[in-house]
Amino acid sequence: MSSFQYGDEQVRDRDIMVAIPSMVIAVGILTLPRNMAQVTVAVDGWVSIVISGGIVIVFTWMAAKLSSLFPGQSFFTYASNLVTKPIAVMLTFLLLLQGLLITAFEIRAVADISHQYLFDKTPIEVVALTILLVIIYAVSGSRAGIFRLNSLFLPMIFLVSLVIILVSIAYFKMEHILPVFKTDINGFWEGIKLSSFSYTGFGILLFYIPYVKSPRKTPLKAVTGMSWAIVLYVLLYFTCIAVFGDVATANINFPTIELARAVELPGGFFVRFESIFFVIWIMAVFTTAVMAFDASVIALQSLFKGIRKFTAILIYSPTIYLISTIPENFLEVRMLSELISFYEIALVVPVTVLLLAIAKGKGEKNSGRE
Amino acid sequence: MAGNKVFFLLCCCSILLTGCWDSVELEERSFIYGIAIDLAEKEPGGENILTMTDQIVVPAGLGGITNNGNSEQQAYRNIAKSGKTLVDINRELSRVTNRTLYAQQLNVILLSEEAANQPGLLKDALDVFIREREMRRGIRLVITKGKASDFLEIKPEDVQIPSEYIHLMLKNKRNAGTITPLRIGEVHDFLLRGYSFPIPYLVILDDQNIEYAGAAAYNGKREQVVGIVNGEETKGLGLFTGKISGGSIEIDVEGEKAAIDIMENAKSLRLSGKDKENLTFNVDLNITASIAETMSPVAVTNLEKYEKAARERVQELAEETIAKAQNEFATDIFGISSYLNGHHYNLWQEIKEDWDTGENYFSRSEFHIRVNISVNHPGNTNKTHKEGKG
Repeated sequence: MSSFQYGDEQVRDRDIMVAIPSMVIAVGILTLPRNMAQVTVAVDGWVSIVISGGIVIVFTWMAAKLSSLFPGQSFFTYASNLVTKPIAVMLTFLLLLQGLLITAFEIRAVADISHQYLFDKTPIEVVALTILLVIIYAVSGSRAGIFRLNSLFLPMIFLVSLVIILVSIAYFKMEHILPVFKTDINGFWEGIKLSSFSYTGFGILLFYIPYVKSPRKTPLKAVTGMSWAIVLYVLLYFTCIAVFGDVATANINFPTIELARAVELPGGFFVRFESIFFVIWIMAVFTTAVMAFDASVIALQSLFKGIRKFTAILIYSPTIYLISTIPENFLEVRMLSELISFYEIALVVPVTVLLLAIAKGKGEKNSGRE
Repeated sequence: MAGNKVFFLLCCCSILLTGCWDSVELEERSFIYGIAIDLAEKEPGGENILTMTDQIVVPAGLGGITNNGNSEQQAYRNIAKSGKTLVDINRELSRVTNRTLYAQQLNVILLSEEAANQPGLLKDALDVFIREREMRRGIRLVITKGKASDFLEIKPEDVQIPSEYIHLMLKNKRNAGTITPLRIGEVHDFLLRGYSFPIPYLVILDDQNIEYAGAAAYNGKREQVVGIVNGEETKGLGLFTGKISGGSIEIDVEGEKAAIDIMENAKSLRLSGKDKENLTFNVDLNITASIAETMSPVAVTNLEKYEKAARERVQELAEETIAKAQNEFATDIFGISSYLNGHHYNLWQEIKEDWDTGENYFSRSEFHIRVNISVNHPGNTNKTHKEGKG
């Protein structure tokens, strides 16, 4: 079987701009309003979301800058030059593992939530397997295809989210928005920590930017993409609080889904608005999982030259499926998500900062010599 | 080789794409439209035994307009069972029905006044409606006078399903003596915060009619319905909260009756005395109205007289309701809790545990009501008949 070839296999700046929000927006969007409402008063949580978003933007810029300093070189190649080869191997391996964990978690989360809201009797394992097969199908194809899928899906995700927000305005209650700024410093700090979990995934930049033809403007584009995600988060959070109130939001498991369910448009058909929302949301999770999977494939291929993409997928798929079946209940799934977030913060952030610092240092030395 | 691949693909398709574990044909579902919850008996130990009545739609009975003549069949079926938890009762009920019960279309929950008077019962009963995945946050809650299940038997001539009748009635009311429908999602919010709130209150008028009689006052701390606000008092409640969306008020213009239609209704509430032992609130009610009916000889062009009469009446209504809420119920049904939480957060944190229980700061608060009313339209005509006298 020959797979379809696109006219241009090149990745452009713009694709990175779309890839970032596609990667970041996933399961976190469902629980973010609850997490925020648990630690802040009324709508104060937006401050935390914006601050943690700002911090993440800085790291996004750094990650993009780092990769664009070495155009055309894979993460493994330039990392080997900057910090000896064994360390580069280890870092690549850790990042690879992160991609696998993210994919496994997204699959499990979709399976769980669709089990709760859509299919009562279908075994979770079957739902998870089906999703995994679709993801494998996407990853097996061309890489440019993934980016085109992003550009196709992301506008829909934003459009449907905006529609939900707009129709929710009818349910806004002023008394839910007040009071303002009554959260103590501790609450804001907790909020920053919790909301930063929703921004995980910018680590894929390290793997994708080498494919960008001329990555000069890429850091700026990546930052733009990330800011879209922040805007969407703040809007959805605000809507949830304005409709449900902070106390109720803190007690609803998936406030964003409930928001879609609470909307009642006259005319019968749109009473079931959540069905549209589910379609869109699964698309969002799908793009995240596909990119995480693909990034792991790239990592493996850079470690072992000459390994075929298909072989990599064959090795990964059972692993991912196994990881996704490990958590026993929703509490353990939540733990897995926290683990992944910590993993990203503890790995990608220091690695990016360190490598960028070394690269800059070396660059300066080089320019000094000349 | 290619043949093998195709065969493999077909096998995959047949496994993954054919069956749906969760498919339930439409014909095999029973849609619950309304649920009535009554108190069956109270055990001495304090455990309540509830009776739940599900109203199920029978699609065959709905028919069309054309075959209305011969449709003897009812469009609904009520089934009831008793038990301690509602989910348990529902399981029991599903043994009675021939189809799978399905609550996605549930519109309204009726809770009898007697049941709602039991401390804690309302919040326990509603738990399942907030928790279950099928349930929507838009389900309406009402309190009924007498047995709630009786309300599911009332069938007016134009609507075939009683709960549909109740649902439409709650939604379409443009009467000053009613409150906005209470959604279960809002109740969730109130229960979590421990706020008090009013719930629509219905009574049976006769075989075919249910009347929207006012509101039941639910006290958030005592967790029970503490009293009923009647129709006139509900007008006062609506005027006070600024939520009347139409409806009329009867006024007295120089000894003769007249009625005004409320067009717009807004309030502004301000806390002026912040001593918590003696909280003072200034309430401004801004009302725009038009004259709907008059039997008074006073010419409608003499708007000041109508305004004055209306102002007095509105003031009276609002004050009566406040007095009743403060003294009789000791329950804040006006949503002042949420005003204090929003605008005087620190003070609220201090007094919220004793707002309408214990110390009861609410009952000891003072309300200064100022009514600004403008009657700006006399209707379609100045006079409808020649003056008889005067």
